[in-house]
Parts: sequence; C-alpha cells; structure tokens
Amino acid sequence: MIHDVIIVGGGHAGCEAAAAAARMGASVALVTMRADRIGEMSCNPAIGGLGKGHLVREIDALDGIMARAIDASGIQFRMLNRSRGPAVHGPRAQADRALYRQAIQRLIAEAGVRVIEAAVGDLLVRDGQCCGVITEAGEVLDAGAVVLTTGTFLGGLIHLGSEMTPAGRVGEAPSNVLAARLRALDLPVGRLKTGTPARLDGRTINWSALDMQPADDPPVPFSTMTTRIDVPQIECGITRTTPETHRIIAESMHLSAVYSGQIAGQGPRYCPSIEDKINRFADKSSHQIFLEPEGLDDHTVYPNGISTSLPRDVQDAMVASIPGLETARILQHGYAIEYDFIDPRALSRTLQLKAMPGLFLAGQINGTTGYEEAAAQGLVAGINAAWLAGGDDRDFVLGRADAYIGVMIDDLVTRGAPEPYRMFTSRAEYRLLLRADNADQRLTDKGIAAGCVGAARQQAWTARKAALRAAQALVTDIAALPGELRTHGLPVPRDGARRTVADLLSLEDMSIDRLATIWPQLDEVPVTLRAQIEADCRYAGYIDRQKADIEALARDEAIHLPSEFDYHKVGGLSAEARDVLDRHRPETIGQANRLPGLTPAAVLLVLRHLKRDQAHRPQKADTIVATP
Amino acid sequence: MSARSDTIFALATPPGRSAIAVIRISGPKAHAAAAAFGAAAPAAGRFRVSLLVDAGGQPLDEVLLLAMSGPQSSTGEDVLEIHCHGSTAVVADILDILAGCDGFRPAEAGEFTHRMFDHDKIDLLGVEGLADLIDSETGLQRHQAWAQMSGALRGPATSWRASLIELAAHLETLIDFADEDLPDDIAAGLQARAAALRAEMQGALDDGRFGERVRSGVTVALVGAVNAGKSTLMNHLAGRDVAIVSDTAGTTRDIVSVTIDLDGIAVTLLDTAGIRDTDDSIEAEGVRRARMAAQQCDAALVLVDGTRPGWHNEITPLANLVEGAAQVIVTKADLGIAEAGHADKGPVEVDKGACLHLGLAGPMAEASGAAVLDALRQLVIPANRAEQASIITRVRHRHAIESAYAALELAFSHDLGTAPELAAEDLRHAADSLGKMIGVIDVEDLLDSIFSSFCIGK
Repeated sequence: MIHDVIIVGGGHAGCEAAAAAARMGASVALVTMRADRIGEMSCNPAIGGLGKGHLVREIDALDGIMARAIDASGIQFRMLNRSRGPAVHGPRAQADRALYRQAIQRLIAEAGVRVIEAAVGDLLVRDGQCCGVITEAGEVLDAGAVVLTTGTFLGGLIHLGSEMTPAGRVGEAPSNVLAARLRALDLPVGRLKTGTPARLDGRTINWSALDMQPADDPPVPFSTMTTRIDVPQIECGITRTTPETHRIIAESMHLSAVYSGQIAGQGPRYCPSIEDKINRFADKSSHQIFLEPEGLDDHTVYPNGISTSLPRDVQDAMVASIPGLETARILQHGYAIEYDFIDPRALSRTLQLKAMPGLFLAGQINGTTGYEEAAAQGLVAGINAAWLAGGDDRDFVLGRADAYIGVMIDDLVTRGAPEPYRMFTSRAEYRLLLRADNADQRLTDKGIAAGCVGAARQQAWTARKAALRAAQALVTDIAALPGELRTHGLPVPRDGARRTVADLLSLEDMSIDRLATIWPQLDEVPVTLRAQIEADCRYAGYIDRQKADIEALARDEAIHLPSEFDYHKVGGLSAEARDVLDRHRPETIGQANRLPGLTPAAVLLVLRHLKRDQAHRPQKADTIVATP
Repeated sequence: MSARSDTIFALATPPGRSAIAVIRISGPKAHAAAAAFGAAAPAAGRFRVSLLVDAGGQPLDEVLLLAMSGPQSSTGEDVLEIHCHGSTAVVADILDILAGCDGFRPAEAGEFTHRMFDHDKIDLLGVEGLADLIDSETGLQRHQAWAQMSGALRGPATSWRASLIELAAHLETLIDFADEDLPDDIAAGLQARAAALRAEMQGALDDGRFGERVRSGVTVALVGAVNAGKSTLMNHLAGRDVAIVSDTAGTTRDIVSVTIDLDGIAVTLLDTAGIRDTDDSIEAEGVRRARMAAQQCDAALVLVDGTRPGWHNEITPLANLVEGAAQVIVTKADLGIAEAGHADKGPVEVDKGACLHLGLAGPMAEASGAAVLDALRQLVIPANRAEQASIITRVRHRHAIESAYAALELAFSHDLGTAPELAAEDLRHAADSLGKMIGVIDVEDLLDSIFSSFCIGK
C-alpha cells in the first residue's frame, strides 16, 4: 500500500503532522511502536505556558488538534502573567494524562489517519529522495513524503545515577536501528539531554501541610472552537526544598549522571535539574516545587521543579526531606535521557531536510524541547509533506512577523540548537503583534489558503471575523470630546481632541465593559472578542511604530538567495563571512541578516552582488512567505 | 556602486602641479598594475624605485612603488601606490594606462573608504570621523575628528547599548519566567540602573551642541541699518586679531561672508544688506535676504549707529528679526553717542542682552576689538562646554541618543508589574536607536549618504 505521507512517531509532533496532512486531503499512515501510547505526555502533564501557550493558540488557528485535546482533558487551567499585558499572557493547563491521550487518539482517528504499529528501522531512498520507510521487521511502506518525529527515542539512553538503560522513555525501547541508519547518512547528528523528576504516589502526600493553588475560575479554553470546559478542575500543592534537601543533594552531587561526566549531551539552561539549581545558585536556600496531579482518577503526582538523575536512594532521601513529602512513596524515579538530534540548520524552513528531499523532521529530533514546540513543527512539516506528496510545489512558511511558529523555525534553521530550544515570548521581536489572543486573525486565513483548515472552523472563523470587523468599526466610530468624557470621569486632558473608543482603550485600566456604561451600544461586542479588541487598541501605537521594521523584514525575506549561489563570486567578502554563508546557505537576505558571525557589511555585499547579478530569477509560484 | 571585485584606482593627492602625486590602486589585481608599466610591484610592505614606461617603451616617470597585501592593508585588499612626480601630464598618462587594463576602473566617490568599511577596517562612526578629519580646518575640528575616529563616541554608545540590552534581558526574565521563583528585588534594581544610565546619556547630550558647532561651524549675521558700521566691523574681525580661514565672496550679490577661527570654532560672519524700506527692486531683494539671514543664522550681531538721534528706538525692531542669540552693538562710540542718556539704561525692551558700545577708530579701537571678540565667544561657545571636546559631533548622533534617551525614559514610566511588555518594547527601541548610530543594524541608506560625501581617492 502506498501512502501520500508517512509519519514516524506518535508523540506531539507526529500526531499534529499526521492530522495536518490528513486535513490537507493526503492519505496518511502514522507508524509507531505502541499505538496505545499515542499522545503520551512523557514528562510534565501540562500544555501551554509562557510563549508555549502562544504556540498552542497558533496551532489551533491552523485547525490543529493540540488545543482541542487539552480543552477536553485539562484539569487545572491557569492564565500565567494574567496581571500583565495581554501580549505576554501565557495560557497553561495541566492535563489528565489519560484523557489527553484519549482525546488525541480520537482526533487523529477522526482526521482519517491510519495507525500502523511497527518499529521503523530504515528509510526508503531512491535517487537521493526519501520515498518511504522500512520497518525493523522488513516491511516496506512507500510514501510521497516522510515526516520523522522520533522525540527522545533516537539512540535514547536513560541515566539514573550510574545506571544506563537504552530506552526511548522509561519502559520503552529506543530506535537504535534507525539512529544508526541516520548517522550513516552523514547528517549533522548531535546529542542532547533532558530530564524528568520522580513520580510520587499522591495518596502518601500530606496535602494538609501544603499551600494549595486553585485553577482559574472560569477556565479560559485554548481553542476558539471550545465553548466550555467540562472537565472538573483541581488544585495543585506547593512546597519547597529545605536546607536538608540541599545538603543531601550537595553530598551526592558526584553521583548524579549529569555531574559524573557520564552524559555528553547538552541540557537546557532554563529547565535545570535540581542538582543544577543547587550547584549554580548556591546562595538560594530553597526552591519551589509544584505538586501536580497527573489525572482525576490517577494518584500519580508530578513534582514540578525537582528533575534529577541522582541515584534512587538519594532521590528517596531527597524527597523525604521536603515538607509534605516526608512519607511520600516514589512510583517511578527521576532520570535524565540523552538522545540524538539533527542540527536543524540542515533543514529548510519547510522543515524538509535540504540534503534529502522527501524527508521532513519535526520535534525533539530538531533540537527542541516541549510538547508545544514539537506539535507546532509537526503541523508545518505535515502541511509541507502533504503538498510535496501531492505534487504541489508551494512552501508553507510562516515569517517572524506572522507567528511564534515562524520565529521558532527561523531560529532553528538559522541558529541551530546549541541547547534544547524552548519558546519564550522574548524571542519574538513583534511580541505586541503576535499575541495568544489574536492567533486566528493572524493565521486562520493563511491556513484556509493552504487547505489545512476544516469546514467547521472555516465557518466559525467567517462568523468571528465578521463580528471582529463590526466591533472594530464600532470602537473607531464612537467618539467624544474631552468635556463629555470628563463628565463620565475619564482621565483625559482638556485638549479639544476628539477621542474614539479605540483611543480610550489605549489608556491603562480601560475596558470595553467600563466604556459600555457610557455607550450602551458597546454591549453588542461579543464577550469572546473583547480581549482581542482591547489588546489591539492597547498596543496600536507601538504596532504602528513597528510597521516600518516589519516592512523592512518582509522586503528582506522576499529576496531569495538561490541555493546554488556562489559566494566566492561576491567581491570583497572576507573568508570568514564566506565560510559562514557557505555553511548555512541562508534562504533569504533576511535570514542572512540574522546569521551569527556575519556583519551587516557582509550582508550588504551579498545583496549588492545579488541585485546586479540576478536580473529577475523566476520565483516559485504561489509561495506563501511572510506577509505581515 | 559598481562591482566590488574590480580593481579601482584614483589620484589621491590634489590635482595640479606639485612635487609628488600619489595614485592609489586597490583590488585583486592591484599588484599586477605595475606590469602595465614594464615594472614589478615590490613585496608587500616594501617599496621600490622603478622607471615606468608606456606601451611604446618610452619612459613615463621614475616613481616610488609601495605595495600592501590584503587584509593587512589600508582597504583590506591588495593595494599598490604609485608616488610619481606631481606633473599633470605624468598623472594623466598613468591614469590612462590604468584605465585600459582589464578589470580596472576609476574609483567612485568614497569607494576606497567604502572598501575599508566592507573589510571591517573602519566602522560607521570611524567613517564619519575620517570625513571630518579630511574636512577639518581648525585645530579643534582636527582634534575632535581624531577623537571620533578613535572611538570617543563609539565607546560610550556601545556601553549604553549593552546596558539597555542588559536591562531588557532582566525585564524579559520577569516576563518569561513569571511562573518561577524569582527574587523580589529585580524590578527595583532595574529602576536604579536605568536612572544611572539616563544620567550618563543626559551628560553627553547636555553639551550645548559644542561638538556639532565645532564640526560644522557657526553662522553669525551682522544685522543693521545702512551705514551702521557692519562692513567696518566685519573687516575689523576678519583683518585683525583673528586669522582668516577662508574668504569667499557671497553667492548672493548682497551677502558677503568671511570665516574666522575663533578658539577652534569656524565662525562664518555674514555681512548683510542694510535693513530699510526701499523702492529699488534690487535693493529690496538684498533686504529680503538680510532678513532671512537674520532669521536663519545661529547668532547675530545687531548694529545701530550711535551717532544717529533716536538710535535706541531702532534696536527692538532689528533684534526681533533675529531668531537665535544676539548681541546689540552701538557703533561709532568714538564719534560721540547721541542722546547719551539712553546709553546707560541699556535696552530694557530687548531681551537679547546688554548693549555694547564700541568705536573701531580712535583710542577705543583696541578695547572695542577685544570686546566684540568676547561677545562673539559668548554667543557661540556654550557656557557649559566640557573641558574636552564633545563626543556628539553630528545631528544624526544627537537624534539617535535623544531618541534612545526618550525611549528609556518612557520604558520606566510604565508600571513594570502590569505592563512590563511595553517597557521591554521601549528598551528594544532605545537599543535599536543606538545600534543604528553605531552601525550595527539597518545601515544601507545611511551608508550610501555617508559614502557619497567622500571625494575620490581619500
């Protein structure tokens, strides 16, 4: 049987890639070692967070499945940074792991994805093009395009103290055959490391001794397609490490896999293990720990903040030294895991491997960490793989001014992943524009043009867009002079200037609710749109100022550098600059601008050479590029 | 700009007769140029005396050849310099032969400097400093240009930008790690550091524009009625006590200008037509220009003829023509001031400062000359000038620093607890402003305008 697209891996990247390709009309097979673990949350049972929440909203705007899955399984919804401006709000929810798996499995089945339970051992390559996979059992699966989402399984090796166990995650075999095969392909393979804490038995925790953190009420869903959260909401516990905890860890530091020199892979600085925290921030006497239940019917508790690779007995002692956990039983000890990744600079922005057409990579294999980062890449790879398999030569590329997804992929293919890459809001230079609240405004039309948005969402978006337009017209139509505004107690100067509702919404602490007491017709603005309208108005001045930057970026991104471009012909280029350009082969002048080690002068030389050399090369038809 | 891979050449010394003329050649084929004259380039870093011959084997000139190899050369490329005799004919023949060589072409304006920049031999502020050095006419201008080339502004600007980026990074920590266990004093620390940075930038801005005045000079108009003594004063200033730097007849038929070096500042004095109502259309045009000069100059000397009765009533209308600072001078004091009672009152109705009485003839001449120079100094040299030359020498720099300063101030006007994202945006804007000034980002337009101000061969 020949599929259009084969997805290898059933994690967050794989599921999103499979669902996206299927929505595009491709016939899709998802090959995974265990069908029952599809949609598994291998580490912390939560979706979203700062920057990550933006990614989930963007996935949703492109009709992806992650947002709907967490809405169907979230047991504690919280909006991080709620007291701050909407651009840095971070929607987050803890999940019931079983409910999340079920939701994902249901959604990919509904999308028409065929699941094949097998271990993939090799790629099927003809004339340098990847056109399928071969299972470890020897079965050949042909496909128009392949998306590899191996997560931590590629050459996975678990470290627990001095114990080393080859595994993809605890209790599951790694993909060593495929890893060896990929290494033989002369790809730039490296090692990264991540870690996970011990899991505790919630029935043995002394909850009464702990501070509890409630969920937001009401919970704010991730998906614009979700009208209500029906899953019961729970509280999490908060506790802290003690001087005794620190003493235990410090004394056993040499036994930690990370510190004994046993692990070569680079770990993430922003998600340190507890031994890292104690080593690097020795002056800090206590670290916070969130105790997050993994499900409504599951007594497993995830102690967020004490990821570790210390030996089992040290973990036992460490946990017992923490208030509330004195008698807690460990269900599964924490561990560090090392795995192969491929330097993402080997990819184009469609996530296709430059050296092997037909092969797309998404998720941790590209050096990222996090479910959301993985899913977002899966979505982009799935769309592009479906196009390639269908003979459509368009590229689905989001720009830095379009989406966090665009920022992330551009960062990866331009700068690589010297440590596991995690999304932050500070990575987005157009943060005030790229908000979690307006992902649909930014992306859904692009998704519809690409063909990855289903009928139900298209319909919902059409209605929502019309309502948004009407609301935008309303807030710019209603206006009043300072005299009138001051009688309503609004703090505006007596400068004779008419101010619209939109102008007033740029003031601090202003809301449509408050202004509706003056102009009752504002009550017509649907409650679900208010945050979006308010945020647009709040940031309007800043966004206007950024327009020139965004236009300059779009100009630079529109200038393509041919892949065969000969940098030796660029007069005046230094050897170092030529080396950087030769190695990275940027796709556009904009990308060249962001390459580390390249001076603006060098980019200018390339630009001049290009302008003179290249009258006008025909560009690919209908390429979707950054269109701010 | 034409191809960067061409070898370019130009006469680096002024055209015309001289003892020596230098022709500079830069580019991949620079050293091979010697062969076109039947000679060979010396080894890099060496010089050689060679006889150059033309295509027919006839001697052109005996010259000194000096070779440098890129990247350790002035432009970063291979360079050959031909030091020939300063003969118009010799130079013309050498340039002709070079133009005929394959891959060679005459340099465009500023192209040697542009290549220095392309090869990281000089940065944007250095390029500006170099242009200023070449244009410098006074010692202070030279000193200031050299300081800029050596990083007088780049140093502080780079460090301010680093501080802004550091402030932004701390703020971003508050935003992106809000769910982590952060120290409580981050925000307070930021306020204190921002205040210190603001003070530093303010200190540089608060220089009375001395650097710009040194660089571009100051225009002072002499404004007054006909026969008030403007020309006499101008001649006096130009002819005595001070050195004439340049003496150009005015481009308009009515305004004559002279530039003098006043303690290192190039002061251009404009002698304007006497202000009066007239039916003569030519004179009326002169008066119109005089009024314009009074309005646009940096400062003015307002002259009234002290021997005319009612002179004190002329002051206010004249002074009102002037937009900048002005000094009122009552002239012909040596001939006796009419209605002397008004002399001591001073021009209470004029807010342009006290009157200065002077006579440029007779026993008062010396003292009057010194007094008018002092008055000029007070007009053009800010009281708060720093001991050393100011680090801001161009309006472009001032705008960038002012814009960064304003953005920094705005950043900390937001509540860091509720709107840190706006503060971060403002800090980003501030750092970008300085980045553009230093030439870290977004420089193409700027480059074109900067390099076009260069002459060939510099």
